[in-house]
Amino acid sequence: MARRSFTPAEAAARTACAVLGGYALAACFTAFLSRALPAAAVLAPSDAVLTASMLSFIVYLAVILRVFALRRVRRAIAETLAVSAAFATAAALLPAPAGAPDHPAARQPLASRSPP
Amino acid sequence: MTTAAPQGFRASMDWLHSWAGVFFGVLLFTIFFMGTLSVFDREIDRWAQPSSRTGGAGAERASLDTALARLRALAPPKATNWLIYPPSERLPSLRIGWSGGGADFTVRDLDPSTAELRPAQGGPVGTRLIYPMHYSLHLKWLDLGYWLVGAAAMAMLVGIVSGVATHRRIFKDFFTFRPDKALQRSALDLHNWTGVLALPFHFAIALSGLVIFFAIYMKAGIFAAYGTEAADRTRFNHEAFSTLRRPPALRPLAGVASLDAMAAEAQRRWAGRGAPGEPMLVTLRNPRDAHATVELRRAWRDRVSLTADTVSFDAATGRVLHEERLPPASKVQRWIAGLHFIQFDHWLLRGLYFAMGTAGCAMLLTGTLVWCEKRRERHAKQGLAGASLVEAINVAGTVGLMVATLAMLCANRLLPGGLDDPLGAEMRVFFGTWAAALLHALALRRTTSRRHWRQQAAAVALLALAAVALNAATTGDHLLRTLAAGRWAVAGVDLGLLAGAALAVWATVRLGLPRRAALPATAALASQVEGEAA
Repeated sequence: MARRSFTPAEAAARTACAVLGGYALAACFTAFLSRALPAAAVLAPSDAVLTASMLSFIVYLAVILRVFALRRVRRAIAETLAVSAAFATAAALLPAPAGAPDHPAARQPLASRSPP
Repeated sequence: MTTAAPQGFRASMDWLHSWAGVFFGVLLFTIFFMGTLSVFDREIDRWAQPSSRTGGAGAERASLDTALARLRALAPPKATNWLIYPPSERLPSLRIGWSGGGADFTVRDLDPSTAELRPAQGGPVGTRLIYPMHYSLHLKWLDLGYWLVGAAAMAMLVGIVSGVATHRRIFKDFFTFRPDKALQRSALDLHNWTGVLALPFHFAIALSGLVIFFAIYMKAGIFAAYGTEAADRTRFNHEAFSTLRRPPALRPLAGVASLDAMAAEAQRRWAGRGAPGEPMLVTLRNPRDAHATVELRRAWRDRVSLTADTVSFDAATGRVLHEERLPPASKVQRWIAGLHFIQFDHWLLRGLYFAMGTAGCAMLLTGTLVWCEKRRERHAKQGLAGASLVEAINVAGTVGLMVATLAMLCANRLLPGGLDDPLGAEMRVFFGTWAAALLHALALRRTTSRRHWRQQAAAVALLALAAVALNAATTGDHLLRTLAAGRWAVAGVDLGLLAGAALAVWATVRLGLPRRAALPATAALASQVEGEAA
């Protein structure tokens, strides 16, 4: 097995990029999808949040692997930052979904609704 | 594979696999070991709490209202949740408990027929020590335990994918086991075998673990779609999980309507929805307030999903306030959570979960062993101390964890009855022994013959046998008796301890064999296998 040993600096850069950058990208992805799906009337807000949150772990995993698989560290860092920024910008431009979602669960009589 | 890029890719994945393993190995082993034991958490409870081993004094069942009267007498005034767990196959006692409002989560077992308080001998170590260790490491500060477990779960996913990527011949490796070769080689074979065999399970269990706590690990979606305030979170929980919001009235409650009548009504509604079942948990929220609510959850025994079909009642009048209905994505999340929690009744599948969990423990242990074996000689020559320190931590974190768990079970059988807080005493024995195991391993870190591994493995064997003997001596429930009576919870724990002792004896012997001690007859066979594989 051809063992590649990263230099300590490169190992630190890749690890930081994978762990922190990967989480940031996954979080921006989740925020974007949580707003985009209700905005496109695809899913109710709670369904969008759950779908995005569940997918986020797979996104995080993919980013970690990609950061270590790419040959050049700079490319890995640039990609991670660019994609995170794109998701964050798109999420910020979208409105947060309005209060009452169009879902049967929300239409139930709420004896429990808290006083305003 | 002659181009430079894939070669680099495989080497990168190899690096990632090794370091994820070294960094998270002990943490992952702790989570896997405790998770595997948690598959039988209630059975371990019954082993550790002899008074809960049997059903009631009579055939009839005590009413929920009787249990409520006991709660009213026992629960501290500040507790905001009162809990009643009706007896079931895995928990034959009628259990009551309380939590919230600054009161420690506490449970007491009642006789299921008479609702008399059962004497506490030993704490519920399965559900309250082993199981929380699995998901929170008993580190409550800033949710640190949850975050460490989450990071380890991500490392597990990374380890699985990178582990597969490093393998040139994963199929052939799967069928290669050379138990008589040097320890490093045998351990690697076992690592590959357990890793590949249980790979889908390990991937699903790590991912579902993350999905269960998505609201801790990934809050970005809730923040973006609902907001960052506590009220926004409540709104999300209401929409996604159909939870009831009912603030306290801040007036005292005059009286609680019949819980048994509410249970009957809930059962009628469940049957009407085509999902008949029994209540498994009755929760009273703000039990002394005029706006107290009673939540009834349907027993999980007949389904994978953790949807509880909760029906909520006004405690004062017994009027239905709310019925849980989940939107589609929430149902998916609850199903994935259920896949991880296995609350359904299926002993064969429960056994398989235990087996796959054990495979995970073996995979992590052998992976660690390979890493240590590879480096011990090289680093000793180079005069580097790091690897021997890491090895000592790994000894204590894996085998030492088993020593600590078994010492805790022995202590459970030796503690005097009538202690105020037996669980606290067991917790101190557990963490104290674990710390002692670390000191022992560190003291022996310069060994060249794996003495720390072997001595702790021997301690596992001795303590496992001692636990079985102590159970027989203190309760009279020896294996012949429990097996003859078909009391599988107690017999199963004893049998598991004996199997563990046998494995530990084998490991002690195997770890003691000198390096490169290939037996002549099998060495030829092994080299033949190796030749074919090459």
